[in-house]
Amino acid sequence: VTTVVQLAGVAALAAVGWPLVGALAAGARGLVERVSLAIWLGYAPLTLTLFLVGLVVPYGRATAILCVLVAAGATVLVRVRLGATADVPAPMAADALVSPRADRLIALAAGAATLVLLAQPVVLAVRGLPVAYDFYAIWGFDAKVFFVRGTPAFVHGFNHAYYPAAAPFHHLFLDLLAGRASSGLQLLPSALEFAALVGVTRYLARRLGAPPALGSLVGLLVCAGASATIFSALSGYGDLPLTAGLTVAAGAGVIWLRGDDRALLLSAAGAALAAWSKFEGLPSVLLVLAAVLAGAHALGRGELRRAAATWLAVVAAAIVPWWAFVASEGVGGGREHVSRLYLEPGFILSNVGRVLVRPGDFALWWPLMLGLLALTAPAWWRAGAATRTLVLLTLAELVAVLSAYVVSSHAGSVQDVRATAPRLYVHWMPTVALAVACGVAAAVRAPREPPGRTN
Amino acid sequence: VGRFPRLVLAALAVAVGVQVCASADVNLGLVDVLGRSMPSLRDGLEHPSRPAAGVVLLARADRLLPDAPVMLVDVSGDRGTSYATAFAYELYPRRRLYGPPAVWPSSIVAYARARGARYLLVRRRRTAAPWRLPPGLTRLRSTPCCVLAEVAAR
Repeated sequence: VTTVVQLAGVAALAAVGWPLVGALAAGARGLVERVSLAIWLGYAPLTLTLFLVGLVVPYGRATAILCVLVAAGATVLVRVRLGATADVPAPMAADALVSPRADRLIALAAGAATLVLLAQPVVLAVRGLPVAYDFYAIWGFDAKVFFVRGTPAFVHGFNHAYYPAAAPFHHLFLDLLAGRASSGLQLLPSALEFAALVGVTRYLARRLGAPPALGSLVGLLVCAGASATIFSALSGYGDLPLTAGLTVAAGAGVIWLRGDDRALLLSAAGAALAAWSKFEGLPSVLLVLAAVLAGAHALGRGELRRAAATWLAVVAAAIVPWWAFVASEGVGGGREHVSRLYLEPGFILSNVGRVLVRPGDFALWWPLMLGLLALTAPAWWRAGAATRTLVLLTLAELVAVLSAYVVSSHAGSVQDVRATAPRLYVHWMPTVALAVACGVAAAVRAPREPPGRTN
Repeated sequence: VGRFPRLVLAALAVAVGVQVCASADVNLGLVDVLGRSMPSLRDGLEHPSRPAAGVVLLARADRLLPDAPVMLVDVSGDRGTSYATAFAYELYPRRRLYGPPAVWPSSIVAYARARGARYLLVRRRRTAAPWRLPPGLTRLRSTPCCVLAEVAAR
């Protein structure tokens, strides 16, 4: 019964998000890619609906089902209003990474390795691995509180109750379907949602111009982040939806720069999910918006104000109701995270750097990816404003995370940096993988293409 | 394909290969590695200032002793913890009992027996002093800040 509930929870996300795939994600191909996109495009609408409906209707299994119907109705309306996306041509044989035959072999091997690595979180989820502290204390705790009280009511004075609540409402949704509050219920859905993130990244890589074989390698890199990735996937914290949101916001924003108008809304949907998932989501997506607008300006695109207003309106729709609710409840707003300036760049750099090269956390992921970005720098720099925007945006976000320690109350503690840095950098792994794909694609294509091609 | 693209493709192949092997190697010891990479759970049990420690203890007890009557005794003196513990009791109303610190240690065994608890999960502040349980309790597991003990039969 538990597994049925868990699978039903993921299916509900996909059902809610499915209409948005047709409306926002041009060129999505195959069931795996479409379902992956649907799961992550359905995450914010369903959890937001659960929050808003809970303000007027007591929580129960019927409420959860009602929320699926309401959220799916809303996404169907969006699909009807926007219509289908424009056709995107399939990649041609000439666009191969090495050669069509070699590419097929690479894609096959990468796909097999991806499945093996994705089996790890699934196995761990089925075994019911111990859940991490902040799940009990924050993300899962909120879900339990809402479940027991039958409404989104806080426990005053408790840990970080004001945190954006996509993950708690996700867990609450599963609890309501199961009819009980259980700490392990979110594990299998989280593992499957992590697999969906790999599918979403592969879609974005293809739309950003990576040959299919390179897209497969990018998917493999997303799930090959050693224990930090698996921890992020299974912890039940807001990190997994935040990662998915940031990846879609950045990737689709750059696809918009390449001429797909509908991708602006896809980027906004990702940004809305990110802002609704974690405290750091909003500043991160605002940086994404600034970078994408700068890229659009460099490309000479018009109507930037209108584009920015649309994008911000979607994000505001996701997060403003929660802020209003938090303000009305008076449960704080995050001041405890911000301290006086901590101007010890050496300490911050050395401690964060140590985390990024710790074998047990990321293995060699960060040195290898940053090395590839450095190696392909001449190619991605010359590849046009869109590609350049993606890589520079990614690097800016990595520096922004580092800079956040200057004002963070965690900065002075080695233990706190050790606990927070892996989580903060996991958020950008898929986007870094996309940037690497663009760099490699640019390097491989440069000799084949006539000079002067942009983006 | 020119020399530079070949170099890039070779670097990509090496990077993917090395990372996949390293990642698989790290994750081969699944539970062990994740145990090591999840210090926050252990810290949560041992961190004296964490207000949610009561919840964590109960959740831990839930895993260690499913369906067993466990009494949580908080002798740490942390107001936040006591509050959270009280709320945790609301979350686990059927199986959990909340032991007030005032009964520690003299009458704790009688107190637990009277309420049908077979186990005690005790949390205190981390100190250098040895951890001594009163007669009638058998230590099952312990960390510097908490101990899980079995209540001896009458």
